[in-house]
Amino acid sequence: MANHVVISDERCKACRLCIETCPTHSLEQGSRLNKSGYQFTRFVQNGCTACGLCFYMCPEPEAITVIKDDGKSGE
Amino acid sequence: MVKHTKPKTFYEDFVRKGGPGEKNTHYCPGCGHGNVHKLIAEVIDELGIQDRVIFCSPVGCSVFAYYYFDTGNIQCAHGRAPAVGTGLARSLENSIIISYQGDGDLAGIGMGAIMHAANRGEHIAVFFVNNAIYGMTGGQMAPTTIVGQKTLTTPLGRSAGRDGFPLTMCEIINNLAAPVFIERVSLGNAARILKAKKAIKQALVNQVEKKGFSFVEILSPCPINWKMQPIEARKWLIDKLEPVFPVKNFRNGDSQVKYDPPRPVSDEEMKKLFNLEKDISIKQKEEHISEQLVKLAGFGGQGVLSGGILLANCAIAEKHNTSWLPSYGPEMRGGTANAGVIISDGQIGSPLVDNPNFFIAMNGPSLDSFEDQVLPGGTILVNSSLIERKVNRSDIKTLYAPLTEIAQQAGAVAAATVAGITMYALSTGIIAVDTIRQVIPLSIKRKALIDENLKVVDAAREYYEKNLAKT
Repeated sequence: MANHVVISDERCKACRLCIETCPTHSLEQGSRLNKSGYQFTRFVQNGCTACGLCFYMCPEPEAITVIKDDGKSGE
Repeated sequence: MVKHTKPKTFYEDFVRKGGPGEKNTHYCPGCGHGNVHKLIAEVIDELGIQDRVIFCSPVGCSVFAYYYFDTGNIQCAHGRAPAVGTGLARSLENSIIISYQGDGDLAGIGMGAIMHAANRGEHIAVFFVNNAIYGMTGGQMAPTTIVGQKTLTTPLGRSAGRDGFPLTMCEIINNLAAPVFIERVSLGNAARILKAKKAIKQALVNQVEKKGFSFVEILSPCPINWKMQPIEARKWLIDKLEPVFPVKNFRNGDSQVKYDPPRPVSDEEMKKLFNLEKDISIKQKEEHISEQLVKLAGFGGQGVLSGGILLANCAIAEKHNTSWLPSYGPEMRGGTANAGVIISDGQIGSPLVDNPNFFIAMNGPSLDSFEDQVLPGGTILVNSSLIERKVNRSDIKTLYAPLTEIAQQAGAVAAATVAGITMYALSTGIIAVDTIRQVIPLSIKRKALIDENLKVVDAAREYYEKNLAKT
């Protein structure tokens, strides 16, 4: 599976720091609200390199997980 | 392959807010504390020190760090995390101590604690999160608020002429000799955050390698109290805070002083300190003693406290467990004073002697104060030189002896309590008079008075045998 970012919908507080940071514009503001009332970020495949900058920019421990394509399937 | 995910040093669930299943921090959107928490947790993972870390959290927004970090945790009194860390670092050799503090905590109320911990070169890593404002209390001016910055308490902006300039802690601490690592980092953007991680890692590596005091100041946004959007706050941080607080390494190397950790004082050193180089031979009695709760009371200058020490030393010499607890007013002479001595063959819990079973009353007011507190069946020894009245109670044993006159005639009026101790020994048999004679030369500070004190012991024994032995 290609490089990608998993956003945990309920963990996101919609600060948008990840969206601002992403060099490949692979993150964008979603339209749905989570249970805390935040319009959580969503991932769009736009050439993600799994650089991890969004992960470090995000203040929440569990909102972002970055997956790197290691050539194996079924990850 | 998962490349970046929640570090293992965090708890699975953060139970503070929502109970089981809650996984969000309590921090506001865009807050820098979350970034710093993640960096510290990641570094702890990478160094494999999770079970050695003790995280000292402050008062401030990060007060709840113990809900997040699955490490040792102590939530410290406001500003005192470095003091708590000092105690931990000195007593738990294998521990890695983190002192996590905000600007109000570290540069405000805790200024004294951080300066002295840094000056001593304590083996702790300090992470100083500087967001230039009091966050948790609602946005008041902090020690690090920059000139012109609007806060709740500086609505027109901080004025240097009225409020002073912001305190630059790295620069201040860099004047001290002991710290090994001082760096200021920023959370302004992702590149800066990755640099911040390196500084945090170095500070913790310094703890693993026992290098010494490491200080990392982290410029961090407080979007809510700065009244900005999270992205805007990061930009303001870079544009406005970084010029006032230059982001750079101030020191990275070995300390100019060698840390001299505390160690137990050896028996030899202890003997020298207390002038105990002479050995004495005391015969240890076979039989067990009943617990002795002795109180000596009188006015300051009568030797009440030192008499208590003499008794305690005699009991120690006879291998009993002993405690000595003085109680006295602010005056060195003339005030009231009393000492409680507990002698036991078991463990002594509290050193307080509220209800003595042997009470030595050196003056009238002491007898008035403590007569009623003596345990039934106990003994009161009355210094009849200074106390004219008799003991009122009939459920206790009473001994009357002119302790002050006995001491005066032996040439040491200040040693009246020595006469009292001697009579205690004769009356109870708990310690031997010979022990008192052997301990006096070691226990008395003024060596010129040793002979007089020994004469007091002899005179007291003579008086006791003549007048009291049969009662």
